[in-house]
Amino acid sequence: MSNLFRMHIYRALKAKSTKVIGILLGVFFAITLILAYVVFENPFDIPGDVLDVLVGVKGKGTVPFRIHSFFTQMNSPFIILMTIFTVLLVTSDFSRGYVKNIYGMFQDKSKFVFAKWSAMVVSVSTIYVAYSLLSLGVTAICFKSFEMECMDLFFKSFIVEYILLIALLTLVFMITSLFKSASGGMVIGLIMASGMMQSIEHLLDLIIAKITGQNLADAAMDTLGGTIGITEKSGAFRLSNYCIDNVFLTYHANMDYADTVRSIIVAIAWTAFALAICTLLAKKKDVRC
Amino acid sequence: MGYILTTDNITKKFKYKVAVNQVSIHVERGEVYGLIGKNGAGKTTLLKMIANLSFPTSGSYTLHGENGESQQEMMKRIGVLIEDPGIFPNLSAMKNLKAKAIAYGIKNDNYLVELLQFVGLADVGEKPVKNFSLGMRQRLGIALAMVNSPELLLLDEPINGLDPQGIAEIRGVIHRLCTELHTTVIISSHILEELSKVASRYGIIHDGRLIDELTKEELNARCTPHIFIRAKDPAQTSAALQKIGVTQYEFREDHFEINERLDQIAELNIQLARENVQITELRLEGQSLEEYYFRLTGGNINV
Repeated sequence: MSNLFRMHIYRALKAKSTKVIGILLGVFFAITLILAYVVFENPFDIPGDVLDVLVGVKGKGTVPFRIHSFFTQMNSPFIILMTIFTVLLVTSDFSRGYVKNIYGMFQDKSKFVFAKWSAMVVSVSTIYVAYSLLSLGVTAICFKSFEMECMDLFFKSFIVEYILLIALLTLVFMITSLFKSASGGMVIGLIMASGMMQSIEHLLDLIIAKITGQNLADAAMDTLGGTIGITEKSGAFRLSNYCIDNVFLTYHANMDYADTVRSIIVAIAWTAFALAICTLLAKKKDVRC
Repeated sequence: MGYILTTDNITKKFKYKVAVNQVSIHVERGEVYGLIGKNGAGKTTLLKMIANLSFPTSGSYTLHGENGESQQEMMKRIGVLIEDPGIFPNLSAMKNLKAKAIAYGIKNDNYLVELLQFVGLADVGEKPVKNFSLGMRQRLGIALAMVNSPELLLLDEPINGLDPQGIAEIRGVIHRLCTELHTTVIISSHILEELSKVASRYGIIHDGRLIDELTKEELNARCTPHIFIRAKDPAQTSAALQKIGVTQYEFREDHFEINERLDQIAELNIQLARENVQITELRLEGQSLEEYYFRLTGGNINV
C-alpha cells in the first residue's frame, strides 16, 4: 500500500493540474492578502460590528485565529481549490485508463482506496499547513496591527477546521469515486464547497421547524445566524448542524464547547461513512474505466 | 509445458446481457494466444476477469493450476493493456514508467531504460507522451504493462487504429516478448490477418461463447489447400470433372473447390479445356484464418 501511496504522490507532483492549482492558490493568496489589509488594517474606518461580520469571527484586533479563518475559510477559493485538487486526484487515473494497469494486482481493492485517500490527506494537509503559516507569517510581517494573542483560539481553529476540511474532502472523494468522472465529482464537490448546498439545508431546517411546530424566528436565527457569526442558538434540532459542508462553512473559533465537539463528531462520522462507502464500492464493483 | 492459465466455464452477466457465457480457454506457458471475435463478442470482458478487474458471475480461472482469485502474488505478475494504454499525456515516457514502477516498488531506473529500449522508445527523451504517434503510445502501453516483469501479458486490441508500420512494430515487440523474454501473451483482436501472424493458438469467441479453440497446426490442417475453379457453365464443369475422374470437389456459390490433384493444376486445366469447359478463374488456394472464422460464425463481415 505504501508503494501505491508513493505513486499517487509522485503522480500528483508531476501533474500539470497540480501546478495550475498551485498558481491559482498563489493568486488567491495575494487577493486575500489585499482584502485582509483592507479589513484588518482598516484604512477606511469601517465600524467594528461590520468588521466582525467581514472577518466572520468576533474578536479583538488582528490576531492569528482571525487571520487563519479569514484566509482558509471565509474566502472560499481555498476550499474550492482543494475540492478541485481532490476531484482531479481521484479521477486522473480513471480518466486515463491508468488504473487498469495496476488495479488488478490487489485482491483487496480497499488498499487502493486507502492509498489514494492517504495521498489526498497528506497533500491537502501539507498545503493547509503551508497556506496557514504563510498567511500568518506575511500578515505578521506586513500588518502593523498584528498581535500574537489568543493563541488557544488559533490552535482550536487550526485543528478543528483541519478535521472539518478533511471530512468535507473525503466526502468529495467518495462522491467522485462513485461517479468515476471528474465532471460529476466536480459539480457536486463545488456545490458543497461554495456553500450552495447550505441554502437547501437551511430551507430544510425551516420546513422541519414548521412541521414540528417550532418557533420559525428561532429556527431562522439558528440556521442562518451561523453564516454571519452569530453564536446564540435555541438548542433545537437543526439538520444543517449535521451536514458537513454547513458545519465546515459556519465553524468559527468562538463556538462553545458543545458545538465544537459536535462539529468534530460530525466530521469524524462523515469521514468514516465516506471511506466505508468507498471501500464497499471498491470491493463490490467492477473497474469501470 | 503446462497451462499457465485456464478458465473453467467462466461467465459474466450484466443486467441485460450475458457478455461471457461459460468460456473455458487453455493457455500454455510461453505461447501467444489469439482471442478472436467481433466487436462486443466478450473478449474484453473475459480479459478483464482474468486481470482481476471484473468479477465473474460464475465459473473460475486458474493460474499455475491454482485458483486465480486467491493468487495475490501471481496477480502481481500479470501485465495488462486493456483498451487504453493508460498514460499521462503531459509526462514523458520515462516518467510514465516511473510512476508505475513506484507502485510496484521498483527503484531501478536502468530497468526502465531497458524497457524503453525493448519497445523501441529509447530515444524519445523528455518529449511529452501527448506528442507521440498512436503506435508509439501503444508501444509505451506495452512497456507499462511489462514494468512488473509479467509472466502473463494481456493485450486487448493493441493494434486498433494503427497504420501498417505501427502494426508491424507492435508485431515485432510481441515476437520479441515471446522469443526473448518467454512471456505468455494473450492478445485479442478483430484484425484476423494480423493475429494469424503472431498467435500460436486461437480461441474464437462469438456472442460470449467460445466456439472453437485450436492451435496453429490444427488451424492449418482445417484450412486445407484446394484448387479454386470458376467457369462459365457450372453444370458443364461438374460433368467434365466427373468425366476426367475428379471426385473430391464441392460447388460453393459460384465456384468449385477441388480437394485432390493439388500438384497437377496445369494438367487439370488442360483436361478441362479439352472438355470445352470455359474457365474464367483457376488457382490454388488455402483457407485463411479469416475465412475459417467466417465459416464458423456464419460469415458476419463485421469483425
